[in-house]
Amino acid sequence: MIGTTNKIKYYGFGFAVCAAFLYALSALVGKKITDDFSSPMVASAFSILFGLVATGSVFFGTVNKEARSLARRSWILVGLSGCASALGVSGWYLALNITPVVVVAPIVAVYPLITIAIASLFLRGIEKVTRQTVIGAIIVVTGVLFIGFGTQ
Amino acid sequence: MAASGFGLSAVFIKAAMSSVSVKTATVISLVSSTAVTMVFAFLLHSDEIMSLSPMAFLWFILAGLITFLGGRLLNFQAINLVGASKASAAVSSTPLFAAILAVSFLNETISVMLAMGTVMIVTGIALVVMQE
Repeated sequence: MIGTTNKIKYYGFGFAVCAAFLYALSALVGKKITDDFSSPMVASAFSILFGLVATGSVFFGTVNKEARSLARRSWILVGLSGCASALGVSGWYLALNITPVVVVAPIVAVYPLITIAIASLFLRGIEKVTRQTVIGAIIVVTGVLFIGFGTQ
Repeated sequence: MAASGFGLSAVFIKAAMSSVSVKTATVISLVSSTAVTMVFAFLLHSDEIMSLSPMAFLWFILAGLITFLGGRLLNFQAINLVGASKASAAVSSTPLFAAILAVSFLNETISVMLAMGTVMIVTGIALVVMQE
């Protein structure tokens, strides 16, 4: 029988893998957009805008209620997360403007290792980074690099 | 900048998760993401934005629904449940799914590198998932 902790863990990884699949699907849609309609930076900006409109509409009740009582620290952290993610997307496209994708893609692919490094520094009381997580992430990143080089 | 941005985003969200729900975090993060990317887009491509076709906006809506209502929401939910470092390792398998979709729908071929990369990604994620 699966315990509650394990259930949470498996749901968490299930969500992560589903997110990875949707990001891959969005890459296909993104390719269609950038081939036929606009530059990647413009596509990214407007996709995020419409993503905000859709997500905000679906969860308006919850967000409206919760946002009123949210602590300043939470606003800042979540806002910074959005800015960091946007800088990531913008940095990706700016890098592609001046550097070949064969150079940019492997550098960006190491981001889980950067997450682990930052998490081990700043999330000490919240999240434990184990040796197994680090080794697993290194193997995943190496696999991503293999796929990246294999499809150039 | 790109790799650090993605890494920092996951860590900031994990730090905030104790006091905010995934749904609210997703919406607030999208507000700040929209502001930053719109500034870059208008600074670098204002002429192009003014001449976009209506069909382009339909594709932007589809991309927004898949990436953010779907992808980011699930990503934040995963970070909330298993942590930023483990969720990032699993989400970084995106190129594997992109390759599978390309092979399935774009008739691309499976190379040795793709097969080896797939085995490594599955092994790496299994290692992260199966720890106590």
